Amino acid sequence: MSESSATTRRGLLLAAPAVVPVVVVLAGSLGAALLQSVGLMPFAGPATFTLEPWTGNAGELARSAAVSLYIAAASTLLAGTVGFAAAAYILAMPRTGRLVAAVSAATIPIPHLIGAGAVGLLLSDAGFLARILGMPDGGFPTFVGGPFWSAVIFEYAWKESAFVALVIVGSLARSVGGLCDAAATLGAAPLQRITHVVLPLALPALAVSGLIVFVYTLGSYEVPWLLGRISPEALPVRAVRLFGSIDLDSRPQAMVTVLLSVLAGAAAIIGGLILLRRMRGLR
Amino acid sequence: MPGGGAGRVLIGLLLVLWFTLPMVPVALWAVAGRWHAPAILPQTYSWEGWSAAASSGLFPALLASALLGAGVAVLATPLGFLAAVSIRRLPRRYARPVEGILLAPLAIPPFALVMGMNVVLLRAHVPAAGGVLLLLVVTALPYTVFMFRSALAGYDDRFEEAARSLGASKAQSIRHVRLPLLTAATSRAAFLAFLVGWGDYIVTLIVGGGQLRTLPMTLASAASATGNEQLTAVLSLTVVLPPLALLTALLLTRRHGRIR
Amino acid sequence: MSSRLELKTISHRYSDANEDVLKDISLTVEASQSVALLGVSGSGKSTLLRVAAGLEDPAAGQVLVDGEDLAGTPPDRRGIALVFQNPLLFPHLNVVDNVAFSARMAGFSRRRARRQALEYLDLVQLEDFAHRHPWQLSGGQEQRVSLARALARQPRLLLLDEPFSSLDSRLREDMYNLVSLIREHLEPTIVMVTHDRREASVLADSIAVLDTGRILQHGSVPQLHYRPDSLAVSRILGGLNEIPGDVTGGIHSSALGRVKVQDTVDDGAAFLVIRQETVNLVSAGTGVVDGSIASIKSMGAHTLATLIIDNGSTAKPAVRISAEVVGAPDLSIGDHIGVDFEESAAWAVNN
Repeated sequence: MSESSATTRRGLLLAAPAVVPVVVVLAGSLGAALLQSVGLMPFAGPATFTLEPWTGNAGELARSAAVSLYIAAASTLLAGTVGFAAAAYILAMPRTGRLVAAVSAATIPIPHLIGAGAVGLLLSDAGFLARILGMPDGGFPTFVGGPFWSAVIFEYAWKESAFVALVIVGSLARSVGGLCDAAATLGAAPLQRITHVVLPLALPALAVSGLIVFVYTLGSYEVPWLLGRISPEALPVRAVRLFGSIDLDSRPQAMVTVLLSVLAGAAAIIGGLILLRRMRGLR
Repeated sequence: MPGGGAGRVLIGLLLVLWFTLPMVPVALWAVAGRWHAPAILPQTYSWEGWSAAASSGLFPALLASALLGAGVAVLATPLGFLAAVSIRRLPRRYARPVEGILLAPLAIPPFALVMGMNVVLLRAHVPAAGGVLLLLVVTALPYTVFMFRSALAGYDDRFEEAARSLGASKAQSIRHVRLPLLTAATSRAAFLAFLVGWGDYIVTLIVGGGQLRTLPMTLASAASATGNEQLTAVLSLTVVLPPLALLTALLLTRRHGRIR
Repeated sequence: MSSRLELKTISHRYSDANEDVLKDISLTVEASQSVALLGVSGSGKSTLLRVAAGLEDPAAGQVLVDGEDLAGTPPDRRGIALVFQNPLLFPHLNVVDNVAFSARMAGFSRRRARRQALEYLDLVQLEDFAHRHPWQLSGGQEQRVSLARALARQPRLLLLDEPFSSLDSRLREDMYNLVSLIREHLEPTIVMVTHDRREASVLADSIAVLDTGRILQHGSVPQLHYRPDSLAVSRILGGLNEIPGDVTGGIHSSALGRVKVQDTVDDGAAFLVIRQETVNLVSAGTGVVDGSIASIKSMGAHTLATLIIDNGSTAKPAVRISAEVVGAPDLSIGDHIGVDFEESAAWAVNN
């Protein structure tokens, strides 16, 4: 008993150098955000409790949240679809698949900030795509800063589809070849092998990576800032703008936006995990 | 499986196009001189973008980013390793919460962590560079912990037992068996941690308060203004190419070093 | 469920190899027959099954089923089922849905596919396991389900790629009985791959011996054991006796003296191959030749004794002959003793 408690103490000591900074940052940032959002930690002047920042601009806040959820949902859907297609292709085609695997893997280390800059050069009014299609002035749809956030969603779908493909290929690479051979000798045509073997096997990996993509895109700043529209804003863009504002009153509102983003992310994770558990229960 | 008609090749080409197309204008703008719409390809080529980048502080920014990436990797890799070992050793009721805490930063948007933490760091008089490093290490820890967790999960203690039964001392079995077997995971973890520091924008922006001019900071100010296509493209390439080169080098050395 | 399979001059090479894995292979399997491809690992036997199933395109040659050339027909439209060494049950489907897979692929309703699947599960005596998941089965059960799944496809041909090699010996015997039962009921045409000559003898009507991508001999089980075409075939089937000598007019002369062999053998250098199971031990002077015992090895219920022949012959190295006899005879190393065999058991090969 005493020996096991000694191992436990040693184990906890081993984890401490990593756990302590994480706890400090998590508690510090969330605590400070909460205090600031209710006026208890003002930049200057006396601390007075108020819920004004939470209730004052509820409508605008709700619109921001809706925009962020829309971007995250659309990006996740697209990234999941393309990512699965790429993974299925990589797994099914030994030679040409290797090229797809290489270019998708090369996409992963590109930071989203660079991705956003690149998509800007590609999709802006007089950008590369408009020139290729021969419609640089007029006629080319407004992707960057447009009403449907298309450039933002495209950037996320592009980068995150590579991530989804990587996760699926990693989880299936060992097993799927033999199972597809077996399915083929049992009469499954190529498309049936994808829908009846590869897809169901990939579903857990697809769901997990989809959840990660959703939470990430919900809270990412750079892409909607560079490629999105000015109003309504995505939650992170609104938070950073209010944070940087000269008007010190906007600081508490920035913190409300921060906490709302954290809550939305947490809700997505909890919902996603419940869904995943159900999926496993079905199997 | 045999077969593979023209249709399948076409799908492959579309996928390659999907993953590469966004970087094509970047590559072109980096060497473009004059490139006015509606020309599909640059009308003249030049190194203008590179000299513009050099004069707008490319080299100090490159150095700052490399130092930041290296700093995050140097701190987050060993901490992640120790934490993963501890999670493996601890009884379940301790291991689960420890792992949960270490993975939690993934669930919280980076801008939220930074904006909340900013005032705490200011009141504690933490220097900007130190604050940036702390936040980035916390952001990188989930990745390094996860990398070592999965490496250790697949690691069989019997390798070391076999070494001991073949006459290796405890120290020898660690030196000659455990460390070589964990090299791949270590380099992957360090690479991911490096990327967190190398490519970071939002933490440097808010906590750094403009004192730290890293590559992404320089790039963001170029990309958010109009008419800076060459500069944006050149800076993008200087951010993207070094990690890709590092990754390729890592993959190549691993392939050569492996004895099968 | 039973078609005639004809493989014509098939050659194949993997893209990363520098030698053909199959060299000009021709093999015919009549309807409802069972043929075993016997060979060591690396002899190309699994590749030949993959070519027949359409999982590999051969570099040259044809696969004909009931006379129809299957070139260009993808595996899913060949009607050839393959049972793999690893059962490869779909982990996302339970047992009955695994067996119902081919019917679902063919477009039948789930209910109808399951009803049919249950019949095949009944055949492999696993109807009570229909709603289990693959990971809840033992190795032998998994392989039974895999067999039922292949049969439910109602294939024109059933290919078995060492499906029992990972099972322990008792389970393997059960599976042999099951295959016999299936052969009685459904009379499928079977091509199986194995490295186990006993398994090949138990399950197949005829055996094709494969070595480094070529078929050395294809014949009935006794033919391969007692009348091999070459030393290589004799060795692959476990023959131990190879007595060097010369043949003239159907008579083999060696350290054993003059032994009448088949007349079809060519005159010149030849090895006398006599199955050790057909050699008897007799008292000295009463058999074909005498020798002294060099080794005694217990084979369980049988004993393998090896003698060095000592009839004054000066052949180097010394000529040895082995006899596998029932029981454990009272012998010790160095004993002087005679060996005997029927004239009909003598067989010579030129190489």
